[in-house]
Amino acid sequence: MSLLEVRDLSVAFGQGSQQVRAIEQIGLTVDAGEILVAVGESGCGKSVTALAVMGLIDPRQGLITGGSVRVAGQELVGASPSALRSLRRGRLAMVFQEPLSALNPVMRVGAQIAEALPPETRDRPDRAIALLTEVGIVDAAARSRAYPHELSGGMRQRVVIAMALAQEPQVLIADEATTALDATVQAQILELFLSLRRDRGLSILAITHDFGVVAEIADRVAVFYAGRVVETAPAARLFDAPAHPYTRALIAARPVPGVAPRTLLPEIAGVVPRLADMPPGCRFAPRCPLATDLCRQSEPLPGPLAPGHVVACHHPVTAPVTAPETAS
Amino acid sequence: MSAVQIRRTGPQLPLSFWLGLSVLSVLAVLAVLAPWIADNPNRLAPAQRLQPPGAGSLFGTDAFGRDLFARMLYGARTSLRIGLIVGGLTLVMAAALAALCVMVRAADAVVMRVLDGLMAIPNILLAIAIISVTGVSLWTMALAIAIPELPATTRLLRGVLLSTRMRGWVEAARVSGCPPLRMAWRHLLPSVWPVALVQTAFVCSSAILIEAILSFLGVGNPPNVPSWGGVIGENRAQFQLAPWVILIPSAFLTVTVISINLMGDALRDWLDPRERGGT
Repeated sequence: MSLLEVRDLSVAFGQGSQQVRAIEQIGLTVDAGEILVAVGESGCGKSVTALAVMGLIDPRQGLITGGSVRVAGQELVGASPSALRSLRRGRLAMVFQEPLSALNPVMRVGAQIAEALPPETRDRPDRAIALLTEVGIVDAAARSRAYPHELSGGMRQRVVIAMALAQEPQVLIADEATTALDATVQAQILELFLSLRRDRGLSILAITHDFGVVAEIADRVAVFYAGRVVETAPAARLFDAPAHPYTRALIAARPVPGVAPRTLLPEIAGVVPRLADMPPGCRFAPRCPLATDLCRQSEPLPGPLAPGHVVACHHPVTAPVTAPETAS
Repeated sequence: MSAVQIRRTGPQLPLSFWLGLSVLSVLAVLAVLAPWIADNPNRLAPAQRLQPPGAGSLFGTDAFGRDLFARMLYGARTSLRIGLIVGGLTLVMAAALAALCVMVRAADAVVMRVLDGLMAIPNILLAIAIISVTGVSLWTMALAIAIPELPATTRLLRGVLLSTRMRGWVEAARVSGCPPLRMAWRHLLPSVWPVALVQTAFVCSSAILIEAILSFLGVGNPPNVPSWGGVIGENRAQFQLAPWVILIPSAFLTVTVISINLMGDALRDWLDPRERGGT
């Protein structure tokens, strides 16, 4: 059994005829000590999935319409806020995207980390300093007395990670945790995630739109498109033999070193369909070069292609990628 | 190894704050010392009526020969008391209502509609209505002035609470299992109190004005409780004969209200982080 198991999770926002389904029947699993990266473009439901797993969907705006989220066998969907709080404790923690807004500007960072420690913890300031050291902050004792605005972006993100670690989670959810950082700091934070996985056996569900992050840390990858998971595969296999046309197009659209300057990157024609106005069949069909009438009429269900490789496509591509596909 | 030295600097409170504070402090000290430095403000001396300032007493006398200096100092007691009590009362009631609105969705709709209704009634009219029901005393008057102030203050605090609740650190604290009281104290209050403080200052100055208006109209303090507005009202027929009986209490009112507003403005600028960055 996986540590984090998301099954058929659906979330809708709005009411009545205005209701839009942001994610539908999302299935994800994260095993102990595994790093799963959810990748996809903006608005495809990655963050909504993370929020739903954390129980952070604001009930005034949206609700989980179906499915289940289990952490270490415990069901989170449908739990009351107070039950959810105790279920999350020691199991789930989240690293937010924008570190400056995730930190209280009028509290010293050490106090904020201490606050996130389990209630029975003793020597809280020392534990906070130990956590700051663990996430790679030099002179942690002095830094723990700093306010968020006195730290650099990378240090703030480390503080946010320390706050998450203070809750002793088994699974860490990192929603675009490196997006707000510049490239070198990004690499350091990813390195930190890898070392946390190594030292603590932490499982990580990372969310990104950046294939660089995927290549850097992912064990397995889930590709999101328009509120669905279209393909799940081990990272190496996903890069070598992506089966879903969307995944292939996404990988082809990456800028690759060595391509002559001023050449156009390949792009995916068309736009993502609006949530309120989804095509009846496969959601990618309108933009898919391989689409047939079958694709336009019935939605493909996720099916296994190889061990660990699941794809939701009527016509999965089996040929491996040979050379970087270049623009015609 | 030496710790990282971090110097905290920021602009000082502007001069206008200290100006307002000193004027108010002088006034407060005079008000407290009134029984020792001034005559009985209610002693009638018809022979000495409408004396100009300077001669027998500092500010002269009114139409009944009462010493204006004494009436000004005792009037300051009334005004400052009303200002403080209304400020505090409004803050406490508005904060409680705002917290209720933010926490209970059903209460939100009811409370806000009732306050909208209150807003439709002019302040003075509402205060007069409340006083006519309850009778005049310091506390009923404070309440009558505070209730019309509630809609604006509650609205403001509710808005600040609603927006603060959506901030990233509040969500982060919620996820990490921060208990509600601690959440309110450590994560919400620091964003709310500067706004509340500034708003309270403005409620204070408005309360002093409304008390003066009520006393001027004769629905506020009875004549034996000196009040600046009351003095203006009692002597309004003498304005052409003895302008000082109107000008002096008016000056007290104006200076007091301006001082409080100066402090409020200065605090607002000083507490606003956006105003600080430039220097």
